[in-house]
Amino acid sequence: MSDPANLWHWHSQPHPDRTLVTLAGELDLSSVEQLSDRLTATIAATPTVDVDLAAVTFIDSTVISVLVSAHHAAALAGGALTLLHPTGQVQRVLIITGILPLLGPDNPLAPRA
Amino acid sequence: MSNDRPISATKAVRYSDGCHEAAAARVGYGPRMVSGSADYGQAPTPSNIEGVLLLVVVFTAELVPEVRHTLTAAVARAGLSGDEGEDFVLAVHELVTNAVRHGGGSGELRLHRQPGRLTCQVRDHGGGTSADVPALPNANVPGQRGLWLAHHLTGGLTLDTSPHGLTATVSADLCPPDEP
Repeated sequence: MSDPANLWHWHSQPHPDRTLVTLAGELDLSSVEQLSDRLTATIAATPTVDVDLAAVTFIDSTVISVLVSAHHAAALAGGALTLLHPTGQVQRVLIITGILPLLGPDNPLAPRA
Repeated sequence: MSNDRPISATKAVRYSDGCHEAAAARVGYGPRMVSGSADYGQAPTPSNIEGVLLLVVVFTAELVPEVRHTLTAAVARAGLSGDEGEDFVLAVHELVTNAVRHGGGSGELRLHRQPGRLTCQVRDHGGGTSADVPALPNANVPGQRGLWLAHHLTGGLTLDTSPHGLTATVSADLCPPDEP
């Protein structure tokens, strides 16, 4: 049986004004609760969060829900959540659902590095 | 109840691909070829899909990733790979996720191969679900994208409600190598 704990990985690198979160693997219903909790804690520490998706190979609608909710929480706290480097299936899903214009690096709230 | 009702012929026009439109036109209504005698662990529901049964899985929430991996392998073996294979797997995964979240926590997946086409049916045990495919919500709205994705990625999602639950069906066209 697949162990959800081994399907995905989280690494966060805090900086004084922002946090870089690097995700990897497959994210789905089995990971969204933990992903949501960790994003909430990260946003509480620094409201500006960059999420690197380069090593993520699968996301679904439940993951998109968590990312959009985290985006609202970050904006409410005066920051922004920005999705970086999606590829393959992840990029396609973010594009067809219209999420990338809102949360991609070109979104109006994304601070320039 | 509606188990003897033939499955709706879903729209298969997608990505303006001539090969796929040709395949869609050849969807077979040939002799019933359903085979397989899986051990369900619960009351099996008769299939209303013609074709060769490739996979039957009874699932609960904790099996969602494993079901997806099993389906990915079965879909690849059936000849659907690359982006189209990934799209079909995500579409079915969304139906499975919908079943465990809103359809009573469990369900049954059946993958069939018909001439030129793969069809996957997901049945759950929920009640009162609307049989309409929702529109894509605004990017600002957190939820409500699962069934839209299943519909959009396959070009046609069929939803049937019954007192026993929701039956969701999606298809993908196979491009046979010997296509004239």
